[in-house]
Amino acid sequence: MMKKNSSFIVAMIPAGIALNWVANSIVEMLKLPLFLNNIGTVLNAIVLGPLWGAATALMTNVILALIVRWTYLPFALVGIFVAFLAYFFYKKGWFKKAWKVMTAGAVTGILASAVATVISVYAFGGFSGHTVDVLTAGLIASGQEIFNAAFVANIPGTVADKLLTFYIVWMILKIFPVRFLPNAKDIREKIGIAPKNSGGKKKTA
Amino acid sequence: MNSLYMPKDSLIHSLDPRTKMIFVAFVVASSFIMNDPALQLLLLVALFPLVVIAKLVKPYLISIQFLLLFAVLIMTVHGIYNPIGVTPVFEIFGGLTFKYESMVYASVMSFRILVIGTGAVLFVMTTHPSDMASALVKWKVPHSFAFILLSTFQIIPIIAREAKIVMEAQQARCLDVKGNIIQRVKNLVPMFAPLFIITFMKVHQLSYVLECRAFSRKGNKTSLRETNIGSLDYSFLLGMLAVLVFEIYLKLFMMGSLQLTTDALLTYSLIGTWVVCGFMLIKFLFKRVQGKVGGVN
Repeated sequence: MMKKNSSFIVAMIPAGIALNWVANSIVEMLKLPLFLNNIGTVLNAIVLGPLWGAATALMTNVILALIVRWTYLPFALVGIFVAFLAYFFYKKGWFKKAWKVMTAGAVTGILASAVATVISVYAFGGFSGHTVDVLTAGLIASGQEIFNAAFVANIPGTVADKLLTFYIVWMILKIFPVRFLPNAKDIREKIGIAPKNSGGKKKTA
Repeated sequence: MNSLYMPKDSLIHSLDPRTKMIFVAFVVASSFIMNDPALQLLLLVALFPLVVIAKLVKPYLISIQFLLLFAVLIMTVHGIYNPIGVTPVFEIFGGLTFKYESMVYASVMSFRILVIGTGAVLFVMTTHPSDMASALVKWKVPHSFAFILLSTFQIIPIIAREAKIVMEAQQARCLDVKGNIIQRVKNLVPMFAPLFIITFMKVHQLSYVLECRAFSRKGNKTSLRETNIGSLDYSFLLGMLAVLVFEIYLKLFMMGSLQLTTDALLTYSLIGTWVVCGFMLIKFLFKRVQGKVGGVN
């Protein structure tokens, strides 16, 4: 698959990065306190495979570091981690029912915020450059340890974020036109659409 | 979407991108070798003439503002609350004391952020993205990787435009963007679904175009912008090597006798960041007020 679709992959990774980027502006318009900045990563991890998802995450943060500021670069690890976890849950068949997808997202969120906390504590003293930093500072001031404070401040946002990311990607892949996906059969099987039903749809689509 | 590249005619701009990449690595390495606040401050001051040579003083100061905010936050919070601090240095109102050890820790961390930020800004603002990509290809990085880096700069505005169109179209179809929070979360799906499909269509188009231009063909690819290493690059590299050797020498043999970090230095650097940050805040508020007043008039 890799050889055959290499130009598709090369075109898909920038698109994933762009989706990661653009998700922010959509969320901003709906005035939601989220980032959804892993949506392209998760999509690429499922459609192209874990390594390409990880590459998307890495490149996203490289681009962010080049365009915005370099402090985004260490957080590439979080994205890579999310990409691998998304593929893992997808492969294990957790993308079949809504509650399973949500659980997978929540677990990913907890683990991802742990990774993010470790990075931010060792590289930036527990701060990450988002508005959550105010909460972190407040928690440290109220007598928490730095690691705990950063973790506690990070976890609700990250869990909600990853949960919704997984859910949206799942919802959209369910209604996705088959002809655009390179490995549509596999994906439809894994996200809980029986191949028999889709057989009829395929011809019309 | 352009990167932060600023086209100017200067010495730093004419350097080869590979030299500048090595320069960034050198800055990162030396900021870790010299883990002492005074030496890092020295490094920061020493990098500033390069910014002046590159004629980037104003954009540099704008882009460094946020990193300074980081530094203020880290220095204040860690200086007071980090448990490794023992020796009190000075006290502010409310009985909060800044401790020596934790201030050293915090200043090392925040100066490192500033130093690496300076190096990164120097690299990004003086290097055209295409040059960056062609330099990477010359370093035997796979061509597709360089292409991904380069095409992202072009594809982000395309997808952003599509996202705007989707948002407006869905709003025209009575998508409620001012409902309660659950409604708005539900609205994410009708926002993202068309965007995903458009993205896939664009990606297919792009991959057809790439195949038409024989992208996956083996062999050398030429680039429109050529870069080559000249005598200027060699002298720059030599200078960096000399500084690096000096740093290692300083670290290995002089550290015991050299004690540059004092209470006064730490205090002044802390107060300095506060003052600059306060200045930024006043400027920001002034602009806000000015905008409001201007809007009324």
